[in-house]
Amino acid sequence: MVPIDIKTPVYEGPLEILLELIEKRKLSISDISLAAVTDEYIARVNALPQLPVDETAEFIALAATLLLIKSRSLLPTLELSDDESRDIKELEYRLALYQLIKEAARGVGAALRDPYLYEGENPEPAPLFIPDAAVTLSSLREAAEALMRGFPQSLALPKVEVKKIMSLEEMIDRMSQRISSAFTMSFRQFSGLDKAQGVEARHGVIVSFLALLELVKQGILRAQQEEDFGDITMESDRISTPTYE
Amino acid sequence: MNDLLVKIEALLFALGRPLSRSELIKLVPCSEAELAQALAQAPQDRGVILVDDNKVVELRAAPVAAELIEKIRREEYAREVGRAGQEVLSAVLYRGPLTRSEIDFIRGVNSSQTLRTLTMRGLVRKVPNPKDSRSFLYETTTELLATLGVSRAQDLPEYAEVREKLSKLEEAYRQKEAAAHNESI
Repeated sequence: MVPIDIKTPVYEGPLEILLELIEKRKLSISDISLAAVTDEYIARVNALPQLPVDETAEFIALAATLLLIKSRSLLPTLELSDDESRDIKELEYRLALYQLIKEAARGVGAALRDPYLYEGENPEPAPLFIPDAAVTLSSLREAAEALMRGFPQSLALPKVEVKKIMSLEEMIDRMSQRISSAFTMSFRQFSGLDKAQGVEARHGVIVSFLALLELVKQGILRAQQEEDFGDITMESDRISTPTYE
Repeated sequence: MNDLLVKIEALLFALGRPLSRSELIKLVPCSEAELAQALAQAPQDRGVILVDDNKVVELRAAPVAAELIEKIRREEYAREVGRAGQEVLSAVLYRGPLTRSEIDFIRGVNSSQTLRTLTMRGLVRKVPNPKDSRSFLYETTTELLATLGVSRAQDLPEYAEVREKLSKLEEAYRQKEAAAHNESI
């Protein structure tokens, strides 16, 4: 098999680019430094290759906030809405946090190369003798009884023979004969549900119903049921039993 | 603490078992004199102490904590053994010694946690299985029999009868399984 070679390009995130621009100028994070790098950030974003939509949105949202900061630094009279002020504060906060984490990550990377601290293997403790007053000769005898009662049974399944009640073919035959002689008849009557009861009746109904479905499918019968679980009226267009190969 | 002693302690902790002096000399490695000198410097005023009987060296909890540890362990295991515990004890007493899987089979459920608790409480113990060196057999402890007031398992109520019934049930099960297996082939 030819191995599938997947290369995922490593993009710099918007915060990463921004921080890089600020650090390059040896500035600290403030609205002044952010205003100063705005143009450069936008130039960098424009130069980026095609990005997935959601990532592009991140880059653009940040650019918008930067432009806002820059506008304010140029026009001190510019009034900011609450949302806008919050966006700016949030950006400064996120950037500061990112800077901190980036710094800390270097330490984590170095620590990963430190020697491993092995965990201890636990020897099994020596048992203490702690009896239970509820364990008595009679309770143990009872428990033995419970074990015998609940002893696992073999999983071998009992075999049940399925008895033949009436074949579907016989039933279809009988039904089409009855229908063609009577034109319409009730399913309740035909299946014997009006007379018989119990298991026998249920089996009769099942076979009759299958036969009914088959005859409807073959276009010999039309069936109508007025209401859910109500009786089904079956009728035939043809008087004689059709012959089919 | 000298470097050698630090290494000895770390080994004892990480391997989790007592090490003989000759093993330590080979593992560290160091000379017999160096080892003796390092062990002599072991501090005795910490939570974990080195116990050295001149042959085997072992890490143990400090004696000042002995009472505390015993109290906590007793509390942990002082609960009633419960129905599962009674059944496992009864299986081991009447039909034992048994392997863990035989106990699981008789009860129809996994009994490893129950067996662990019973072992920790000193009611059953694990002994090597003479038929299979990879598995262990569980048998009841002398202390349990003593507490029950019987000198041997045979003196349990209806011992012979229960033991025979259990083995017959097991035999019947195996035969049915074998029959079902043959039929399905």
